[in-house]
Amino acid sequence: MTTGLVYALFGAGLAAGLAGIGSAIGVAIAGKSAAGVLSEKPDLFGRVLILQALPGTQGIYGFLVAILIMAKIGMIGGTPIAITPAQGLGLFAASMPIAIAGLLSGIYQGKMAAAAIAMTAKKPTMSARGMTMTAIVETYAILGLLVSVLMYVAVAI
Amino acid sequence: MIVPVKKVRLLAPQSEREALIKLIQHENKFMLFDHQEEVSLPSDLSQHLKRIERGVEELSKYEKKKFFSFHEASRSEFEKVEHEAERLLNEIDENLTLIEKKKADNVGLVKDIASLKPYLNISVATKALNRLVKTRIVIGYIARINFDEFLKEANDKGHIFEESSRDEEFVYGAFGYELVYENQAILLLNSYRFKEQTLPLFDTKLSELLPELNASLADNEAIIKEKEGALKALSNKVNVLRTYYDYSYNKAVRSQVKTGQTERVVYIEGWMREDQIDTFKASLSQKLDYDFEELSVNDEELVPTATKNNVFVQQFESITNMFSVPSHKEIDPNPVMSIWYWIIFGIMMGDIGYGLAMLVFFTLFIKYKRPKGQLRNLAMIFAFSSVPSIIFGIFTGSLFGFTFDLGKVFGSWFGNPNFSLILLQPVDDPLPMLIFSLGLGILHIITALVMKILNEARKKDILAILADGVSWILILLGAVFAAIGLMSPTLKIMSTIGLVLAGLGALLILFLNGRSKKGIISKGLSGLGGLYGVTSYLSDVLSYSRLLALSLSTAVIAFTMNLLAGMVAGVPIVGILLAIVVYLIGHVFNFVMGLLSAYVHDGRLQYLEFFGKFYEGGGYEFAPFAYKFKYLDAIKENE
Repeated sequence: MTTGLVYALFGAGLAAGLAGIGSAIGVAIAGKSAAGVLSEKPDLFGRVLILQALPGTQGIYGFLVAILIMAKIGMIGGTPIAITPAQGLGLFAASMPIAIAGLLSGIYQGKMAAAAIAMTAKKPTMSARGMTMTAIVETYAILGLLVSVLMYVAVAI
Repeated sequence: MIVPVKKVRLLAPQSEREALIKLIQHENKFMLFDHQEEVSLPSDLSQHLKRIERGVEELSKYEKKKFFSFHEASRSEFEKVEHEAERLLNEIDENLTLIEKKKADNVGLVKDIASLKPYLNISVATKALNRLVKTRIVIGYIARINFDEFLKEANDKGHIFEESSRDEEFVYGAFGYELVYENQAILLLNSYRFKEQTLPLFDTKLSELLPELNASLADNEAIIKEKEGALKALSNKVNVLRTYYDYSYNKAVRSQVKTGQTERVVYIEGWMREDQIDTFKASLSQKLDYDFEELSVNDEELVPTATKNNVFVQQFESITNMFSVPSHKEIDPNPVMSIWYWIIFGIMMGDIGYGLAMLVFFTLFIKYKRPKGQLRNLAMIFAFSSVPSIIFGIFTGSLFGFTFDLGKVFGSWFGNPNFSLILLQPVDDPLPMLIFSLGLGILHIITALVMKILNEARKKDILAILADGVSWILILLGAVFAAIGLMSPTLKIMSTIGLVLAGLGALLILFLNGRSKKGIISKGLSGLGGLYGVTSYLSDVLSYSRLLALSLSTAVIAFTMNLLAGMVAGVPIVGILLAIVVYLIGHVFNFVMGLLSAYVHDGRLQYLEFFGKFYEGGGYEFAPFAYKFKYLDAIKENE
């Protein structure tokens, strides 16, 4: 195991970890609101569940980048490649956009989802608009993911 | 497309009022003026409905639950259900009241038995106690710690106490005294905290009573069982009640329809689709003597929007309506939107395996579960979208996360093993896929701008066509050309063309955006402000990078699940089983998350990037007065 590999692993860990934390907090914020709504209107379960699941995608994006990095350095599905510290730090940098954007956008998307759930409680027919508004927050996680993937591709190994 | 809607009035003799309303409901083509989603019914009608609902509830307890239940009634069954259903309801009510009464009786009996138990050994009948003249007997209990002293003092004073039983805390029994010594006796009882207990009055001795009580308890149980059996036997007729509920509900709704009247005629006003008026008139005149008038609509009046599209486009209307129902004055966005939604959904799923799973699962779901309303629309959309998913899956070579090149298979059949259908590889080489996504986004936005031009052309506003539609198309195309020119040196000329196009577009905006403003300065400022819109177009185009993000996430998670399944497969003995479990759970999770993401993000692209460019909406749906069913799925018209 080279130092480069360790740097890359740190990156993968932060991508999955931080984005995962963001999603977990976001889903929990939305979930609290959802549980409150369900106690009054159990038949809204389907609509409310979809809204609650929306902040969960950041975690998936982080996980995705982590898997991509680990596959590239051969830590899964192969033998580890001896990469240089510079290459390792490159991959570490590549994991940062989704790690940071995922952490914060997950939390804020959770808050938005909670508001959309409250709106759905009052006007169930408006849940699609709530979904759209919640998805707008996610745009920036997607841009983060995009930059991560582009940087990941650019790091030659 | 949007069908014109006319405002009409139907007139009929007063005696035909009921028949007219019933026919309108049956025809399902006439929208009432005061259309309501939920009609509020007067209390006697809703009581009646509640009674039927209770009947359905009681009987369906005994019914076998079927996942694929589909309830149909023929027309004659539906119209003639009342008699049989009322008889059934009475029978159910009789049984239920009896069951409830017996259950209440038993609760009383159980309580009696519990309170009598400690006094079973008392040797008198409780009723006899009331007939005593010179003495009184009090039945009750006293704490054990006080009992010995109490008994001694009672005996000393000439009273009697007959013990019946005792438990850990209390001694139970009867205390007797002569009425002359009443004050003294009561003082004694109070000082030892003797608790008097009033027992139910019976003729026989308590010890003989218990078997009697137990017997009537058992009798009641038997009756309850029998009546529940009777209800169970009726449960095969629960569908009669279900039909009856829907029959009564629709009858009740009819009774709430508001009609106007003059001395001899009743009239009813509402909306009708222009293309349905002739068939409506024809089928009405067969059954009824009536008159039809078309009314004029003034400009301020909100006319409902009726759309007429093919089966494919119809499913996507629900997606548009969630955003806003089209206004009756604009072009129906559904045909164009449906095709784009369909394609984008396919790209977001982008896997042959998941596409096939969608096709099989949702086709079966629609065929056997027969969902109604929006759920059906959604299931149909998913089933339709399986086709582009499979096609796009072929082009990315993805089958449940494994690489699968259909082109190679075909190629080897026709002697060309190097033939490949994999055009894009989101995981290994994301850049081409990103360019493809953004390019598709530009096409999508240009389509929206063309819709904008068509809408403005309807209003004959040529300046708006140039300023809001043509200009942005020129700029977008110019940007694309310039990018092509920059990337390939052989096509340098393209970038010049691109710059010219974009410049033309910018000039159009600069000069025309302020056309409604007065004064040269505010015109100029407004033109510059219009150019600032470039930033929003930039972010709109970048927004399509989610196509890459979603197809990446589907592909990578599928790949990870396969990898995990492969790892656990190495475990001896249970390895294969574990692998299958991991594989199934992983792919079901990915499939469901993929569907959810595609549904949400596809909707977002349509609502913000696409509709934002041209769509006004703000209409309300043409909703004809029709049968509304809670339990029934359909009525068979012809037997």
